[in-house]
Amino acid sequence: MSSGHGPPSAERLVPAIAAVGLATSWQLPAAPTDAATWSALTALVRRERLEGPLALAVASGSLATTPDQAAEVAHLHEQAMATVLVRERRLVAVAEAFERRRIRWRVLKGSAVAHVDEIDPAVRCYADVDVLVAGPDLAIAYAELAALGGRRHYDAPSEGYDERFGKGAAWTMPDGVEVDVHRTLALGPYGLAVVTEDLFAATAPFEVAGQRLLALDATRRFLHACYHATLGRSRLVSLRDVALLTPRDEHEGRHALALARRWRGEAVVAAAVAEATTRLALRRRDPLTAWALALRPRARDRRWLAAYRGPLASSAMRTLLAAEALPGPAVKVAYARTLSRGRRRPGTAPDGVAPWPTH
Amino acid sequence: MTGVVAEERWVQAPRLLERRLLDGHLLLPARGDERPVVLRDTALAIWRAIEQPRGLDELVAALARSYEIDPATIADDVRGAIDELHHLRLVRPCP
Repeated sequence: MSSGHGPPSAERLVPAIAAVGLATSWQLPAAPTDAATWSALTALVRRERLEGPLALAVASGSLATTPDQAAEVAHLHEQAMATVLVRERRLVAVAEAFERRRIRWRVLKGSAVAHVDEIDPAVRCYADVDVLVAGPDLAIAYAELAALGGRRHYDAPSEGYDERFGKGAAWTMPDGVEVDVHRTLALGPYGLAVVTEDLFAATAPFEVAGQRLLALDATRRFLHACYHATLGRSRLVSLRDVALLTPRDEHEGRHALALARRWRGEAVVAAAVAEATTRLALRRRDPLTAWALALRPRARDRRWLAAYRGPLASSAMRTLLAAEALPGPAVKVAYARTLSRGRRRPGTAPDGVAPWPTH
Repeated sequence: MTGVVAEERWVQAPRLLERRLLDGHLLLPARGDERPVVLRDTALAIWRAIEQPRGLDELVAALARSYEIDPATIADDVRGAIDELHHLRLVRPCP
């Protein structure tokens, strides 16, 4: 590793694995690690979904391994990629159904980053299919998922909530694959502050098994990576996405920040870029990174961020603060009404709003 | 052997999901409910050699050249591998 004495611990090695192939100050050890460290490292790699970067580290010679360790990496990577291909098969089926019904939708996160941004698609591991669907098309999309045999995890708290205020819903398909449908990029105030129509304004096409798919464009993929890293379950793979997608030049950076400002998400972006820069020991100092490292969140952002991270974080807090992000009293009242009209049924989350898995 | 005849031409199946592995290639048809399949070594060489349609004799000759061996010694093995890849829906005969 770049600093310290003695053999590096698994906890210090795993960010270096996450940063393989990036401009990083981390250096992996020149000799294979001992068995105990290796065992702890592979457990962390699985938890952080870094089997792809680990395989890349071995293939590129960045990480020294014993023959047995190299064989274990090959096995771990093969398992992770088998999981990914089953998810991609489900994505293709969903794409065919959504395209048939002319639903406005985009591919998010894992599959998009794998095919559009990563060094090789085999570097990006993921466990769910994530898609963005335009609010007015949600009901049709949900009907299509149900027709494919899907089961929604939780009902909406009331009629109209999904299309207007919801983040989306998670579905489990007959093959066990989870399809996470997003209407916006996060729960709570930051999610409601996103101008969702902006998400569909620019795209990046890619192809999987002959199926043409559309991801968000690079700016929006970057912003989504930041929202996920800051407001969702924080994994190193999410920080790697942020690092891969951070705009290189000033013009692109300004464009991304202008959109983030419009969505009142500058503090979200700054937190993600600063965390990726620090934890992955990124060497780059582009204007956006410099801005992110210098930004001190305003009072409103400190309050909003606390609803997602830290000891005060809770779904109740996010639900409460969400009203602050809504424009004007009429919309706030409508939001409160959709929550108070709650139609709890078995399988519905306790507060009707919280069930979205944060990964 | 079942079904594979010398006159047939073979090509990689369309609509395959795939990933490169450290020691092979992972493949899965985009439709169906199979588990992904790993191809390594000879099976992978055969699959890669029919990215464009090829007759069985032509394929055997190309692989024999590549491995510097007598075509007659590998013809049955190649036919068997094609049969297995066809069963897995990773290759298809083409007109």
